[in-house]
Amino acid sequence: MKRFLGKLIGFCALQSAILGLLLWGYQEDRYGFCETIIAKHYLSETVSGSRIFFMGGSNVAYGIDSPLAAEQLPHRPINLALSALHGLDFMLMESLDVAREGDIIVLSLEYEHFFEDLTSVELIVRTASWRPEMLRNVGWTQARVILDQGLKFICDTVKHAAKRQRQGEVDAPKSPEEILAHQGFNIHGDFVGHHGKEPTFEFQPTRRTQFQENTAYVARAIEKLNQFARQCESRGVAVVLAYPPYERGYFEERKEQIAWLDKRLRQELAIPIINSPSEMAYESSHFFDTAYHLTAEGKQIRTRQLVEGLYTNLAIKSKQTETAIARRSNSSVKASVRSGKGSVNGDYITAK
Amino acid sequence: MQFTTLTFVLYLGLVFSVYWLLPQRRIQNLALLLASYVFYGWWDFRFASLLLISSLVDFGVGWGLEKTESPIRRRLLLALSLACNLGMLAFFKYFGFFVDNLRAMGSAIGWEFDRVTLEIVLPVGISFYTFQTMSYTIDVYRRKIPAARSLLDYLAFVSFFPQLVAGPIERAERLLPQFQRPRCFSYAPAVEGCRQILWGFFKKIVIADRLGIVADQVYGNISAANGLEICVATIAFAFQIYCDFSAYSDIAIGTARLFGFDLMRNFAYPYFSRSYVEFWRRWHISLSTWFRDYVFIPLGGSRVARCRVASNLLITFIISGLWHGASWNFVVWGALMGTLVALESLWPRTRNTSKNDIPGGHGTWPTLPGAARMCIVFSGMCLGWLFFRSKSLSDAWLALQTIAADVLRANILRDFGQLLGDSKQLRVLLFVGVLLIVEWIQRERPHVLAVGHLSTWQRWAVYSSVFWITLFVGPKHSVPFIYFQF
Repeated sequence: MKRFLGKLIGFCALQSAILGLLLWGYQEDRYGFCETIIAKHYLSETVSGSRIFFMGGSNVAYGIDSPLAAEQLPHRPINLALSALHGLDFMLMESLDVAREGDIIVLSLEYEHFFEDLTSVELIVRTASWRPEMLRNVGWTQARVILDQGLKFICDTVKHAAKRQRQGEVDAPKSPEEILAHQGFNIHGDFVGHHGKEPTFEFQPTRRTQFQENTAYVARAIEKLNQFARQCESRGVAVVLAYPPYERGYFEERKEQIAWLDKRLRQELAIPIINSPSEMAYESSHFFDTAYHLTAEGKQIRTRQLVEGLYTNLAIKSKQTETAIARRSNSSVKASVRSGKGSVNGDYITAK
Repeated sequence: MQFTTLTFVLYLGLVFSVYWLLPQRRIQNLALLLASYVFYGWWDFRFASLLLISSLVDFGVGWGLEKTESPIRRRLLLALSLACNLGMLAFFKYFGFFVDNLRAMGSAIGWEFDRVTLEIVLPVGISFYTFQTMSYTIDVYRRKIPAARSLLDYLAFVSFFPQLVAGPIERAERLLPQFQRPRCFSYAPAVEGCRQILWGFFKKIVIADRLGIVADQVYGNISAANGLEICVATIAFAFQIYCDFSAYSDIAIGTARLFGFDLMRNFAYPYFSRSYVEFWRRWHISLSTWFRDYVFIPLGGSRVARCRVASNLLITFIISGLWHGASWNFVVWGALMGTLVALESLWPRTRNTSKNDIPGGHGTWPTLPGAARMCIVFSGMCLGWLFFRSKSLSDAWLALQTIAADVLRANILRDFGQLLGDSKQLRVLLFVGVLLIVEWIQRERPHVLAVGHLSTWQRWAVYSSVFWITLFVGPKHSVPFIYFQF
């Protein structure tokens, strides 16, 4: 046994030395946007009054016009979304982490969340490196996913380290506002870095049929959402589900599976659904680079639809009666910006 | 728990450490039993109850068979075991298939049945462990082996985690005694086990999963593919399923070696076979021998008239096809394989090759007739894989029609050139080419990474290269082993 262990340890030491050489001086910047998690939490902690959180994957990060929503809703909008690859569990835990009585959570999940686990260990690890507190919320299910994907994470890191995709210089610590601006987000947490840029999205028929109808998987996703709804209810937080915007060509390709999902959700989900998949199928021209990422015009259309859905499904009072609350919450964010860490320029915060 | 995950690597390290620290065989067996149930319950702990039920029933039946001499009681006990195991399989694996076909037959003659739907999740590995427990009971019934006396040993044998989910399907005669005798750590098998695990990881992650992307793209939407693409995808699938399944077997055998167990070989370079009979002696050996011993021989085996032999072979292969999946394309696959083997059995006899012969024959290079025969066998297998991989029988039929229509096209060669120009397709060919070359060189050894004859630094250079290529190519997604679905 001693001989075996000696050789095994020797082999592992040799490979670790090679790995150490490979990773020497390597810094990952593929998921730089993860640092905005700090800023988004800062926003939710500093805004007073009732808030409306938009949560989901990048369809929400790219697809909500919060200033427009703020004009029409009495609640202060905060866009919490980053990427679908954080996985459903992470999104639900993050929402619960910030929500308090009187808040509204609008969940807009990419369809994939109901058909497969999208969690990327790499993204979770990168995000946790910015906000280690989030690891407190990692449940057993997600810990299992992280462990199961650990090998992929190591392989990806090795691959990119070998290609030397470096960040270059290490950035100095930034304020939350600077982080948002640096990563192309506005003060509400919406991604606006693509505004004014030429869209690159083009519909290409896919050969692979995605969205395999997996009864067991969708049942688990619904159970998670129902449990989330119960937790929200006990805290006095309202929660609704909104279908994401989806490019019409892709929508048509997966129409049957989406209809199957919609039917199940309407039968089994304990969360009100405020729109339908077909009304969220938009033309290609509204998409920026993927079938979920809206252009500036697309996000305005989507936001108006969302607001209408919220008025219909939730007893939200008119903007006029709640203006004071909204103004107060806006002013608190701007006040923190004025305190010397950044300045507001339209939708953008310009880092000093 | 998937083999090719960090979870498994850490879990293996933990179980290995605990296992060898334990002083007695019984406590080691208990540790293995717990480890196996945790391993299995990692997918869904509810499935573990089925495993336990199947194990308990067969242990009880085995004990009953040992105690009674009455032929009627013995038959009843055997029937109980078969009913329980086959009943579980029928319910979890074939219920939907039976109901759908019954409804289709009903509507064909004008009877409309109410739609009976049950959303049944197929428990992982059920086909494997039910066959293992059934073989135990049948062997006790035939008085080939004595019944297990210790429930702990028996439960540990059935649930032994390296081979629980996708084989090799071990016989009690071979594996159970290994649980019943003391084990001590041995250096050489453990090192050999590590080599085999490393090679298994390489085959699964670097080759099988990459080839799977090509096969999935085409078979995911067969109507959009041309004949050439279907051919390439089928060849890719032929090597994908081989690398995937043999990788699982390699990791299973290697892991078992780390615990002092010797599992049977499951693959012996099948694509170097020069006849279909030889192929099935080299492919999924544990299942082929299972069907030989428990289906083919009871049907009469080869000691009957040649026509009967051929029909026995056909029946055995059709049942084997149905074992793989509850779908008509698996039945057709089985029938096709059975037909090829049966036709070969009717052919004037040539010398039978065994799995112990050198695959592809002696010599550095294959002989021309030998190479031609290998190509013919491979082509027939690819025809079978086309049915095996297709989502339905209609998809398989469409694929065949598309290939037939495209073969006669004038510009087929130009398209083939274009296809090779695609870097993805070229990489597929490169993977397959490298695999075939290293397998040919190492074909006299139990697995490709059996490099004990090399000097220390050469061995370490080989291990390190394989390790780093695996890490560098890495898994794109966590792709389950194909045979998990069976």
